Amino acid sequence: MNEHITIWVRMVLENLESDNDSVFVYVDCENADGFTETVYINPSELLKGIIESDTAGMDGQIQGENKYKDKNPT
Amino acid sequence: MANSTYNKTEMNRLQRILRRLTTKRMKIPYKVVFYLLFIFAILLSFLSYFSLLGCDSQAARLIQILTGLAIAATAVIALSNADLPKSKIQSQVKAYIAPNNTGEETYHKKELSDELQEFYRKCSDTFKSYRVQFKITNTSSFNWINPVVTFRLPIKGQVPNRDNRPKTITDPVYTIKKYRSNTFNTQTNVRLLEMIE
Repeated sequence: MNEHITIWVRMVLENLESDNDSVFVYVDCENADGFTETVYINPSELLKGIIESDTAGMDGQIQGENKYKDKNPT
Repeated sequence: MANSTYNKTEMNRLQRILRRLTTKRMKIPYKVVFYLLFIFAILLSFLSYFSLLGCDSQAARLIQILTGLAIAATAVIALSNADLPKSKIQSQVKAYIAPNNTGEETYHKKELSDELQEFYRKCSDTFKSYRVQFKITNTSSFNWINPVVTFRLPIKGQVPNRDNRPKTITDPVYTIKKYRSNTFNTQTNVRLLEMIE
């Protein structure tokens, strides 16, 4: 039951406010009532993973895996 | 002492019966009506026991009333089964940047139009954009049928983009700002991704 979808959105993190900016993700479906989740975007926290992997030479995702590989990298 | 234990056992039995009569997913109004009917039936039974027992015509009337109440209770159960409340979606959304799929793009402020330079004034002369992954996990106890995912994104996170107009050498490279995503390549039941802002 714990299936997931991964959607990426290209963002300029440097332009975001560290505390105020958040993304609202609303999920709805035919057989249940919808749900809104607020995701707080903390640029330094997000970039920390990349910096750590750069310094340690890591080759892989740190959290989860991208099930749906994108065919049109933009 | 023995009498009180007997009463407790009887009460527990009654509670168990009442719990079984209504389903967990029954809507509250149906539950209220159902229990009211049940209480009304008990009251009528007591009234008949203490005052009207022995009178054949009254007893017959009481049976009629109780039958009517039983029919009403059945109707309430049938209605509630046809009008079950919808389950609530439970999901977990996690934002991260995948180190092997950062999609890093670099922009120089001198390549931006004046409007964009003003928009990205907070950024350094050379700034980057990244693919921020949003992993939406279904933590409900059921499958989602035709899910719709809507994102509301902050205006400031938009990335510089080229427009399709023909350009001269002196024109800036990036003149518009917008969000880009992989939604069009997602092979799932996500049929709509609405982007506000």
